[in-house]
Order: sequence, then structure tokens, then C-alpha cells
Amino acid sequence: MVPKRISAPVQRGLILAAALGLCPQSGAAGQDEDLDLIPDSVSSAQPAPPPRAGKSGNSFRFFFEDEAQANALRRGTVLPLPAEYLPGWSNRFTFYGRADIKLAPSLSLTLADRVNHLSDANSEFPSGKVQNDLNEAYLSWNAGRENYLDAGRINLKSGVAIGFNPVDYFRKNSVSLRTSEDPLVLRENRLGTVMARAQSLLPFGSLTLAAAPEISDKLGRFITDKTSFALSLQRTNAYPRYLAKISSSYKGISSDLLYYSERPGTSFGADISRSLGDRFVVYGEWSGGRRHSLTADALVYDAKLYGVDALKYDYAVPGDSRRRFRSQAAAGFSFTESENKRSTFVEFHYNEAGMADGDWKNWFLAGQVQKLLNFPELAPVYAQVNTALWSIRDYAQRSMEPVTRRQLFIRNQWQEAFLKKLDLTNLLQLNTDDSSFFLQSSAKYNLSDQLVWNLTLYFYSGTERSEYGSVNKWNAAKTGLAYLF
Amino acid sequence: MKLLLSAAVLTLLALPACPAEEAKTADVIIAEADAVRNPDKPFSIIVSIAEYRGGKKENAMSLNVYSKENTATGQYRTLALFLSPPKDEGKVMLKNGNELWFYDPVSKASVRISPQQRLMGQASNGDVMTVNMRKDYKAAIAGEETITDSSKKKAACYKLELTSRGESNYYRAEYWVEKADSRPVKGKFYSDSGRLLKIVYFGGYKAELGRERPTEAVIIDGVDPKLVTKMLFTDYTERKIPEEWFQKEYLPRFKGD
Repeated sequence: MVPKRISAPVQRGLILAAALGLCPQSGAAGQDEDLDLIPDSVSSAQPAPPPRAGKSGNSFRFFFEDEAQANALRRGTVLPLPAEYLPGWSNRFTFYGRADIKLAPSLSLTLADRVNHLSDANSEFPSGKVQNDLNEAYLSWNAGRENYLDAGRINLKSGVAIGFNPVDYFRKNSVSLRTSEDPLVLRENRLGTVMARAQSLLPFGSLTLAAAPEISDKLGRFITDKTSFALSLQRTNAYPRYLAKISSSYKGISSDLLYYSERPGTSFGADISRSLGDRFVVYGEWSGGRRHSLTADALVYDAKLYGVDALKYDYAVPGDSRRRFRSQAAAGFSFTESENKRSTFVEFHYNEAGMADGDWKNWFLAGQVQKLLNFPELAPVYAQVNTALWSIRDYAQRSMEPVTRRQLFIRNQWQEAFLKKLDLTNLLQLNTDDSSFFLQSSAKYNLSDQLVWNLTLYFYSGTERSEYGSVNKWNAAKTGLAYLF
Repeated sequence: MKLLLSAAVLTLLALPACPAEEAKTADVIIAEADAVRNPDKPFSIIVSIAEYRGGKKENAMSLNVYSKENTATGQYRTLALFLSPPKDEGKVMLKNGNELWFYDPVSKASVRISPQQRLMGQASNGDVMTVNMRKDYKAAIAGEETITDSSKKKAACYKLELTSRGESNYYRAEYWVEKADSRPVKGKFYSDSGRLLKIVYFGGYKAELGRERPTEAVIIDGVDPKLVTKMLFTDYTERKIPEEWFQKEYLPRFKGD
């Protein structure tokens, strides 16, 4: 039974009485007005108890998603892509499932899988193709106190930056479907790496050791990506890899030190973050190790696919392609305006292995050979050259590192923008050398707790001999619905 | 005899009504109120939150919150596991002093967030029960007032004026604590520009973990008073929470069990 609120005339009478000194001392003038702001429906309501109280230790998450994308193609680019690389439209239907299951008090199983049906302008509608991605499948054992052993396909992520993580050593080839250019969304599509991981948590930090074996692409069609439901392990376990990470936190400063080994070399990395006041977080990460340039790495990787030992020919790659110590870094800050529900991340990315100004000139020049030497009988060769040149940029995307030497990255997220259930995200990647840029604007509207509509627009802008001006589409639009349960 | 009785009555009248009437300092009052809200041992609670606009329910969510006091700073560290809605299920938020991390199990990424960023969602209300007001604010007694609590009953209260010590989410607050049993009744929280940000009513007192504690809070948005949030605190459970849990590397392993 909820007491009725005091009517306005009675309130006015009480206030007048208090003013005349007729009421007992309360000193509470105005306080009941605050209480009147609570509607009766709220006073009597009981928030619903959680559907799953989390007591069992098991959790499940599923969603369906369908997204259709239309691309506006850019004609007459300096280096055209083969048509099959960029269809005018595409559609993706995805079912995602994730389960964390407690098998015993100290043993748990994690499974995450994504089944996609893909179709585009180049496929015979409506057949398309099915691609299953087993993102994660691993067992976790609590070996006493806060010591853990994990084994299976694990998505091991490191780093504090948003747009580029130099110390995220298991990122290469992990994104199975490029459903967005937003790094936070791309991480949701990652394939884990088959590994064994040991982790010890201490009061001041933690120690993590991971070892991932090499899995050959000759092992069979269910292991590699030869069929729709194969595991694609050759992508994530192309080389034997080892990682050691020490994490610590002291007086609000959080940091990681990393050692990483991948044939043929090793890398060292570090990251650090701290709050500045209550609105800012500043952070940075760095990784360094001996490696070839991105261009040489990409060509070597492609050559390996065709069974060629390209390392013998790395001298033939133009530019500074030799194997030497190279650094990658990301530094930035986030800024929050909680009163407007906006947060912005600003980062500077540096990739010493990426393409410098001279490399870009070579890239465009190589693509011009066909126009300069117009021998029709060499058309298939020219097409192969074009494909190889684009594979360099494709390799950078698959490696989740900037193709260029320097890049500015800005991500702004605005919750409840204009409408209560509308969230906007804007993303900018600017090549600071040629001033070309990529802009992605996304709107997400929560139709209900379970149904989400989204619209994403992509813009590529720059001169024809710039990173983003040379892309074969100048804009694209994508819309979709997701149902979560 | 009559004279003796009269003298005794006068003497009794002249005495303080009871020991509780002895002047308490603001620090003692706020510490006692903190003890009402915060169990003195590590614990977990289920927090169910519903947001209303104009009396109509718009959003709902629930969290499993684990809290433990940092004996060095007196502040509570919290791990909050999102139980609903479906789009947020499984996400984890860690607050350890001014170090805050947000973990998403789908992307497997832990993102460091600022204290202000935490305030952007309803989850910001999730740890309203585990703020150590005495550590966060300098307190002064502004008077005594009888106000109406959330159950529409009169409550004789100390009114405290609180000023941030620098680490709190709000610059200034007014805080009403019931004189009889140190129960927090109401709080009004302001920004540094003097803007009213939140009005909080505590209620639904029930026996939980050894004493009467609030199981409800109603929060009125100071900027948009039509926006009212109701929170329910259930399943108070004493927990053994290792120190090792309050770091970002633990977040993927936190299942709230």
C-alpha cells in the first residue's frame, strides 16, 4: 500500500503554516518536493530479478545478425582491383553463439562459434557460401590459488590502445571476416590461436606464458580452410610462437612487459596506462624486433602460399626491405564528457615496417607499368603484378597493422545521441603523410533490449595517388538488424 | 517530599534525553552511515536496476557486484558482472581506486576507462552502495532536519554538507542521516559548477549480513527530473575475495560464482 501523495493545496497550506510558525520545527522546507519527483508507478515497482543470477558459473550468449552492404565503386583508379575483389553489393547472415560452462569446481570450458552465410554480386543468388568460424574452444583449469592453465583455441589479446596494438602479437590473420573497419568490432570476429597458456595472478600483477605450435597447411581439409566448416588453423598457427607477459599495477599506473618469439626472430614490447583527473586516460604501447619491411613480409607470405622460398629474393623488393630492428608504437588519450555521454579516443600510430613516401611512389609506379608498356600479350602478367601489389595492402589489413608509416586515429562514441536509444560512433583514420583519410560513421538504435538496428557509412577520400584516394570504392553503406538472446 | 519530587523532575528534565543526544561529529555520523550501507567483510550483491521516464519503464539491467575494502585506502574495490540485458551479458567492469577497466567477452578486449566514462551508463549506479563517503568527502554538520523518507515516513536526520576530497565522482553533496540509527535517508549530489546531478533516496531496510541495510535506492536525475532510476539490492552474500582478482588480467576469468 503506497500512501497517497499530499495534494498541492494541502502542501501550500502546510508551507504557509510552517511560515507562520504553526508547525513543529522540521527545517525540511522543500524536501518533500524532491520526493514528489518519484512517480507512484516507480515507488510501487520492483525491478525484475536477473534472468540468470550468475550463481551457476555458466553463461550463454547468442545472436542472429543480417547485414547488407552496397559499395559505390571509384572508376579510373591508378591501380584497379580485379572486379571479384569488390562486388557492388554483399549480404552476410550470421549466427553467433558463446558458452562458458563450468564442468567441475576448478574446470571450465569456453566455446565461441560464428556461422556466416555470405553472398554478393559475384555469387549466384541466393546460394552464396557458408563459412564457419570456430573462434574459441578451450579448457581452463584453476590449478590452485590463483594459478590457471588453459589449453585449446584461445583468443589472447594484449595492448591498451584502441586502433592499433603493436603488442597484440597473436593478431596476425586472426580476423576471419572484415565486417567493419572499427577495430573494436573487428576484434569480435577474431579466430583464436591453438596454444597452451599458464597464468599466475599475484596481488601486484600477473605472469602469463603461452606457447602455440606450428600447424601445417598440409594437415588436411578439416584442419585448414579448405571447406566451410574447417578450422583454418594454418592461418593462426603458421609458425611456432611463444609469449611471456608480466602485468603490474602500481598507484593507478598499469603496465605490461612482453617478450615474444616467432620464427625467425623475437620482439619485445611494453604498454602503460593511467588516468589523468577523472576525464582523461593516457596510454601508450611499443613493440620492437628484427623483421623485414611490410612489403617484403607480404610478398614472402604470398610466396609461401605458392611454395616459393621468397626470402632468397627479398633483395629484389624495392625500398628498405632488409631484415633489421623495427619499431611499432601507438600513443594516445581518451577524453570523456559524461554529461553529454560522449567519449573520444585520439591515437598516433607508427609502423616503421610500413610504407614510407618512397614505397608509395614505387607502389603506384609498378601499377603503371601496364600503361607505360602496353603489350596486350602481357596482360595476364600485369594482372598478377596488380594482384601482388594489392596483396601488400591486404596483408597489412590481415596483420592488423597500418600499411603506412604514420597514421592518426580518432574514435568518438556518443551514447543516447539525439534520441534515448540511439548510439553514434565515428571513426577517422588519417594518413599524415598524404592527408588522405577514411571515415566511418555508425548509428545503432536499440529497438528493444534484444533487437538492434544499425546503419554504417564509409567514406574514402584523397588524391588518386594517396592511400585512401586509391581505394577502388569511394563510399559504401551498410545496414542490418541483430537479435540477441 | 513534593519539593524533593519536583527537584528530581526538574533535574531529569535538565539532563540530556539520552546518550544519543550527545553531540556527534560529522565524521562519526558519516562513518556510521557508511557502516550501514557497507558490510565490514567482502561481499557480493545482485543489483537490479530499472530506469523510468515520466513513470514509464524504459531500460532495465542487472549486475552481480563483488566488493572488498582496500584496507590501505579505505575505498571499496568492485568487480561488476553484467547479467542482463542480453547485449551486455558477460561484460565485466573493474574499479580499483581510479583504475577502471571494462572487459567484453566477445572481443576479449579490456579497455581502460576514465572515472567519468563509468558514469555514462546505468551501471554507474551499481556501486552506489559501496562508496566510502567518509573517505571521499570532507563532512560538516549543516543542521538537523526532519524529512520524509522514500516510504513517506518522517525521519529525524542530521544534515551533512560534504565536499569532495578530490577522488569522488561529485564535487559536493548534501546528505541526510537518520539520528536514531545512522541510516542514510537521502543524498543530493552536485557538480563543481553547482549543478544538481542526482538525488538519491535509500530505503527498504532489511536485516542483511548482520544488521539492517538498505535494499532499495531511488535515484532522480538532477538535470532531467523525469528520469528516475530504481535499484534493488538482493542476495547479500559474504565472500572470500582474493586480492588477485582486482586486476585487468583476471577479468576474463570472473564469472561471478
